Amino acid sequence: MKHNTWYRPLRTMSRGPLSNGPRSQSSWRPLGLIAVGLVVMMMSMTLAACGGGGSSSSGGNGVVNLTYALWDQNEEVGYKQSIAQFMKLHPNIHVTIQQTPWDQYWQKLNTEFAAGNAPDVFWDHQAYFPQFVQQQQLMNLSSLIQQDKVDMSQYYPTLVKEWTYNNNVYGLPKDWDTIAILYNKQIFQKMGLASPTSLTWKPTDGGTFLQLAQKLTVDQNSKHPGDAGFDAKHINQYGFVSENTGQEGYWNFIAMNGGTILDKPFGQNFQFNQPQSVQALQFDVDLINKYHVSPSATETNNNSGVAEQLFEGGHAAMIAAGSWELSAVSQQSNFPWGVAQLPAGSEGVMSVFNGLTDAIYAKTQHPKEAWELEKWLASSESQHIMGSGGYVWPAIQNEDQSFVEFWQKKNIDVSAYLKEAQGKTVTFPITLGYNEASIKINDIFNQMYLGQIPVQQAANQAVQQANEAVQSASSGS
Amino acid sequence: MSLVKTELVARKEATGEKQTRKRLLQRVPSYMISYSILEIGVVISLFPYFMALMTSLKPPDQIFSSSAWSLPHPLTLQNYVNVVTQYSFVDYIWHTLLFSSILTIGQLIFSTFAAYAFARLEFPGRDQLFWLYLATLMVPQVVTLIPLFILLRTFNLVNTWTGLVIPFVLGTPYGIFLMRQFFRSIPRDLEQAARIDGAGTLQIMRDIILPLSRPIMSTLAIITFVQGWNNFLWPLIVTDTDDLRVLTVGIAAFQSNYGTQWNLMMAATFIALGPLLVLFFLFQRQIVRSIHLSGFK
Amino acid sequence: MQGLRQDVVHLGQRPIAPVKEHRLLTPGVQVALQAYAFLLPIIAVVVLSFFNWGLLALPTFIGLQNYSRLLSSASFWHSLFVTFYYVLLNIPMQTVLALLLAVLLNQKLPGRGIFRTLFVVPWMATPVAMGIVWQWIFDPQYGALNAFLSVFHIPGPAWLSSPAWAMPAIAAVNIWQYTGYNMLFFLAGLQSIPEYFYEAAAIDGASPVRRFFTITLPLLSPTLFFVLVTDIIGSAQVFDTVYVMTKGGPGDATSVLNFNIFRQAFEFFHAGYASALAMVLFLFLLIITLLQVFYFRSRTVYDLS
Repeated sequence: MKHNTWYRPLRTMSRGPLSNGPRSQSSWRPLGLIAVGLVVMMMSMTLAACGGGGSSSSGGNGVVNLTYALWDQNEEVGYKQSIAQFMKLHPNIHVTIQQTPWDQYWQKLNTEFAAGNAPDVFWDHQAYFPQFVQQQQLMNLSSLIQQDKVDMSQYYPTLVKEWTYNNNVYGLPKDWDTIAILYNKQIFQKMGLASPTSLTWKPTDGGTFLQLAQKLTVDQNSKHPGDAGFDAKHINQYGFVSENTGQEGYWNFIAMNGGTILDKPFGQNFQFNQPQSVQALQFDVDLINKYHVSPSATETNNNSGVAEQLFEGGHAAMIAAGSWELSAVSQQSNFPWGVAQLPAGSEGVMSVFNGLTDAIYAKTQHPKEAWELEKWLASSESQHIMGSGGYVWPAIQNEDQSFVEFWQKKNIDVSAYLKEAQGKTVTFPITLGYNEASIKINDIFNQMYLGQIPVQQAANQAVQQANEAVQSASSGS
Repeated sequence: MSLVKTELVARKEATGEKQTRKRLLQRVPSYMISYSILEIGVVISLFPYFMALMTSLKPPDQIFSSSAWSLPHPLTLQNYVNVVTQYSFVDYIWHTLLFSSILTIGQLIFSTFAAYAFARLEFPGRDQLFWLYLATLMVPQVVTLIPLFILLRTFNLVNTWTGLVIPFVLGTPYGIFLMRQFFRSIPRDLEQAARIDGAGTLQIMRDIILPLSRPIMSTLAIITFVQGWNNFLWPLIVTDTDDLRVLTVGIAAFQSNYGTQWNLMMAATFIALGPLLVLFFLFQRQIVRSIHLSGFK
Repeated sequence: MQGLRQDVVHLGQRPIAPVKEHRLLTPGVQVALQAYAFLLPIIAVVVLSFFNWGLLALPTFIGLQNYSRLLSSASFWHSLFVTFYYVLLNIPMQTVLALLLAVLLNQKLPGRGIFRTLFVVPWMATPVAMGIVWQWIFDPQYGALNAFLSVFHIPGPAWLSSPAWAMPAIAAVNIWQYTGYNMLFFLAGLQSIPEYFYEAAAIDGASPVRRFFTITLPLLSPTLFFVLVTDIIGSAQVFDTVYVMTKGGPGDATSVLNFNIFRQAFEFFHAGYASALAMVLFLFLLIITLLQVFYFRSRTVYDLS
């Protein structure tokens, strides 16, 4: 080993090698004090926090600690109330809520699954349900349902079906949502336009929906799309926000045009490159690049919440939003606004109909207590709290009224959502490996919405990559 | 080299004062050029912060109605107030402070010892082991996360302070690299003299190495502290509850699928930045004066 | 006698009298502890790369399948290419700028301490927040950059949505973030070069430029070595900026390897495949680092005489 230092430092030592000059000691002192202080602080905090660790555990006095994981901060407020109620009724059970934002929720959950350490009860979503259930991470609730005689008929039948796999139920429905149009009443009034009920859209000419959107789109010189001198680069107000999103966007249009996304639940063939689906996609993309009633995809790609923020800022007259967004929009908007059904396509009005359940971790250490919590969250008492707080539509059909009443008090008629739920609906596409497929579709569609790839070509590419992802997932990859 | 030095001194004395005055005047235009370049650099460096600051001082409804760099119209500190009162940001600051401090102390202690071992002690496989450590820097943190998490789970350390700091508290290969290079530049004569006097390794470290290393340790301390402060993925995965949440995770939580609360996020970012700036101001002269890279190979 | 250890001084001399050492506190034990801590997760990753693991079930052994899959995967090679493209955009520019700033601040300019601090400030920000701010700056319609360019009548591209400009934009953000940090190291290196070297050269009639190339750069080579090695390793692992700003897009224009690794592990749940990808990245970095070691070993100047 070579030992050459490349050159000797010019500042040679001014003091002897073993001498502890007062200068060196005093210059260390403040640092030393800080270090000692920190160590003391660290030790005290470690001792304090040492107990609060790990997932579920049994505290003293036979109190069982359950962890409950969710992602929505708005709904968390309502759930805190509901769970406070639950804990009063079950003094031997303590529930800790863990909130993680959507983006990181699934990463964290899956890491916890890998380590065998997942929360006892957690929010489950259709996109991940197939994987979880196939890999036996979810507790089968069918026998418990029978045993405790839970009335499954009180829930929307579609929801129960969505969460059934191989005739076993893996979650009790707790809410549902559809997609509807939110419109800015102030803008409509100012421009003397009637509220957007009974709109239609057609792939050929856009229907009354497009006409309305064009009237609502105004550039900085107060011109509309189609007027001479309309400047698409300086639009002050958009008629509608079309963006690269499935559930709140193109799935609805595809269904309304008679197309399908996936051949069947747990299927392996995506179908949105068929003519009817492509027409719907083309319509959605044209709203941006051809008709200029929607902002460029450079604003909306990979950025969730842009549509809502444009709406809340008064820059978009209409947006398509899921019913779970109502409380957030309401908090951030300071103008009167209303809800209308989606414009009707050739199949009429159709919306994606989806719902969440709470799943019980198959390896939970407290199955009995977890089931109590599950039953509570699916009960009419808990769902009444969530509905009457205006957070989500309760999955129990009789409780829908509480949600409607909450919003009526704020002068907003949300019945459009309900009408859609009771009409023709389309479910979330579910299949193994859906997550990976949807990310690949999303990437290609980002470019499609930017106008960089033609729609049919993008759809073909997306279908091919999505099918590959789904097939490799099924083969156990 | 000393010959050159003597000659230089001789020549300097010969030409005298006239040269010095001339050189000073010559310096002014070059200073002007330097200043202009530096000013441009500062503007580029700070402009994004300026935008973030403007956003943090705006009420929520102004975020979209104006461009990000425009001045806030009613200037409001409400965002800062909200961040501190409605969200437990003060707690997050304490947690992050504790986390970074533990990491820094651990790094200073353990990396110093290890670096000294690699620089001065002889044991079989020393250099191979050192290069192996360096090699671990080449594996992205993303993949080591999962095995680490499983390890923690096995010992029931998830969502605990111990679990949070364990991967970093024993120092990092980067720190060892930096310190080792520095130690190798310290003349061996000092240590050899000490050994002849009968000093053991620990005594040598305490009396010779540490006093000389104060500047490099300040540098390493700041680097480690800032890295700990901005660490995101690991605390996200390992901590579940608010009583362990750190700043980065807290800031990320302002992003939801309804759209990010930009004003709160930017206010929180500045709150997170504050302590770092203070620390850097305190230590900056030592750091710059000191990164004695003599002996880097 | 327990706890005693012979400390042998390598001077080719006779052993000196034994010294009392506390076994547990010796640096050697230290190193052993760390070896355990650092290497364990890496070994786990190496092992995992031969398995198939969806995180939800137990890993299953598949031998070299992950590797054969990645070698035949077009998206892997594209990823590798994009990563190197990024490193090429990032490192030379960053190094030159850092050196330039260090040279400028090495002069006795009044106020240089303030400048030094301000240049390091970009390095201190949370990556998430700064990534978002830069997204605003790069926004084609409302962003500061295009507004600035329009003053000179230059139509700015769609930056993060443009397949051609997305990667340079990401590189620009990283240059912004790390130039100041690297400048510190260069500054210290410069400050340890003695004045009289320059003065001697000046008297011999060398121009400032020549002085830079014949004196400064060679004497700075050890610093350069450290900075380049650590920077290339760090830069090839870029993740935060891509994750926040482009998520690998548009298309796969910014789909760097580390981002792909993250996706495979945490979004597609192919932890075994992700480990294999990480191993390949590691191998490439190892080769590049070794190349740098050899290059610098023969060129590093220790002594001007």
